[in-house]
Amino acid sequence: MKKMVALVLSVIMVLGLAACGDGGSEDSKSTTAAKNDVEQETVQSDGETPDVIKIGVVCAISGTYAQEGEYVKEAIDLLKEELDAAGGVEWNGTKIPVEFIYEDNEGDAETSVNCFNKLIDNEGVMAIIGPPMSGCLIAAGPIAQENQVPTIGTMTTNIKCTQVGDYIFRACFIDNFQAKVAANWMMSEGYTEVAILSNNADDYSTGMGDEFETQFKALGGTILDRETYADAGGGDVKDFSVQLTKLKNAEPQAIFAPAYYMNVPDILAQATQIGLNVPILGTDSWDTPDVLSLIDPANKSDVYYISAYSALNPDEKVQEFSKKFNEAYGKTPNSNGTFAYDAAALVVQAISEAETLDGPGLRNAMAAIDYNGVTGSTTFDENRNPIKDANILKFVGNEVEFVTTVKASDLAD
Amino acid sequence: MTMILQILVYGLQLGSTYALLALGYSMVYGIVGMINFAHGDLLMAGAYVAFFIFAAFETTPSNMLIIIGVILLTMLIVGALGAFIEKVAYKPLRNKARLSALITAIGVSMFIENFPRALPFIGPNARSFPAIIPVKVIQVGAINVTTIQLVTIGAAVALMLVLYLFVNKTVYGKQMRAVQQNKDASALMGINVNGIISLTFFIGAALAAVSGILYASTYPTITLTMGSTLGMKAFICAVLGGIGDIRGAMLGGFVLGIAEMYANYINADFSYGISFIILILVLILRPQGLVGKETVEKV
Repeated sequence: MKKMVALVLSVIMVLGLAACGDGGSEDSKSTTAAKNDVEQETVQSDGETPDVIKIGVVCAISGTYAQEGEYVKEAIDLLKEELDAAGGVEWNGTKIPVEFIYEDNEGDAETSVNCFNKLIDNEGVMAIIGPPMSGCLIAAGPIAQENQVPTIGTMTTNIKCTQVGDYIFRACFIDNFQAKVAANWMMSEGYTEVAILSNNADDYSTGMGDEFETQFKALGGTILDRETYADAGGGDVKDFSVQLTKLKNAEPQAIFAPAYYMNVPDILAQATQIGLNVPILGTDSWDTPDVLSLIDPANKSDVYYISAYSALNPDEKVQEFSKKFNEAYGKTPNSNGTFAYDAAALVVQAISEAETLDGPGLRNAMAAIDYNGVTGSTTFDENRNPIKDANILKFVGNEVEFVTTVKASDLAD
Repeated sequence: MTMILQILVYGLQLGSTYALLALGYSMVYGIVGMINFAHGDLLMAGAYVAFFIFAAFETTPSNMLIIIGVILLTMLIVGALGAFIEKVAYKPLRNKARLSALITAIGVSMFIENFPRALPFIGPNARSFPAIIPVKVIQVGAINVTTIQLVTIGAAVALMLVLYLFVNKTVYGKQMRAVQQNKDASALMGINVNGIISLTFFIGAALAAVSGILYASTYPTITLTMGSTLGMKAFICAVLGGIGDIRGAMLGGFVLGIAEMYANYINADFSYGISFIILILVLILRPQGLVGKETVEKV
């Protein structure tokens, strides 16, 4: 669904760009003017410490995705409380109060562009958190890049987001990173001969299958077999018996199955039916309550999946954050809120570590950061994609159980 | 070699569901000369009706008699639904242009797929069909056969035999064959033509319901649109075997099921289109179907 939305949004964006090609020259003039303003400001602030640090937050506050924005705002409000209690962020020995300025992008790419312009031109923000959706960040990112405002997307998994430029970061891991996590976890469990089941009609699945193959072989493992199916319709293909039988005959120790979640119940049911009882590892697409309710408990033995964030993680930071969030709002934080919190806290830490309080200074601090947050420890690779901890969860009856965290620091290069 | 035999079992299993569904297309076409495009959705209706009856039990019953009872009840309900659809949507158009009935059938199909979304107790979400057949793997030589496969193939073959005997050995079957040949003459002979047409729709829908239950036992995720692709495939089976002919529908179902599985074995990307390729080939080489007789359309 998210992919679909991202796709639609990016199409809209491309059309939008094509349409305003003529007016572009005028626009760029005004942005350069604005850029000069910002630079003047930063030059000023270079000499003396600014009174307040403004950070923009772009998320959907109204419209279809309003719920997403609600969690983002609630989570960042928690951080704001903490910062206020501490008197702000400490930079160069002085404490500077932090202000978060919210802009409503309605989950829309074009509106995101306006939000970015407003935050940068009118508010003169130092950094931008969000937007949570890939399409929006791809559309608005160039503005931040041009004005040298470091920006960190929250749930923006599309590879293109950070390709916009060196001022664009993201808080979540990209799809291919999961393949690395999967390969490392399987090795650590002692599975050296495994097989893959992936969807030929889906980039998400094929991409991760390919990457897993590379990573697992690099770790010294053997891929005994790789079976594919072609489901372009999200749950159209129902029969996996031939593929699963071939996998069974290959006698792997475990199976990596980066499948779309609607295929998962049928795959697992048929795996049980044909007596394929080796551990199966899925990806974050399985991380939805639907999968849980659609699978008969009898088919859920030895089934694992990778999750970016789990409230079940017994880690102190996760539990502390869940508790705080629950006390404040009476609900469990979701991934959206948690990633927004981490993104914001990461920027705040980068500010305190920045050599100069301006765009390039903050960008360099972010690129070099070693942040230890709720969703695990995070560092950035050369493409500003995070290398971070991932959770392995397991189905147990009608519940999900936390198995372990694959530490980013343990991942072999 | 083992793999070839193993896949044959899968093919027979899938073919059984296709064949049961194809029978409905074939019978209806034989008797009223229309393609009931809503027929695939009756498979979905069967799966959902059974799902809700089983959900009414506190735990999924393990007693075979209760399960068979539920299946019979489902057949009755879906059969009645099939006959009802005919009465409401198709009968008024029986003497109109064929195209009208065809379009109506597509409309009925869309209605059945989309109306339940609006019902609060059904909704648009997928459901998980309960495991009513306990899974046991039986080793036959080098190949594995599961209880689900045995039950599916067994039930389909048994139902087809019963249907064959019904059509050929009973007085109602005789009447059906008479109506198929000539409605007016049948009426003159004192056959209740409307009653026989309703009966045909009832039987077709009841078979679709069984097909739905068997299908959902193997592929437990049931959705409101599960019948559309399956219906299309079953229609191909019916044409493949020779539409209007019961033996043809059975044969077509098994041929397509087995062909799809072998295609899947050779190349998974290819399997989805195999049914359509077979259809085109049959239409070119043998338009009357595998067992169909060549007929001259009378003007």
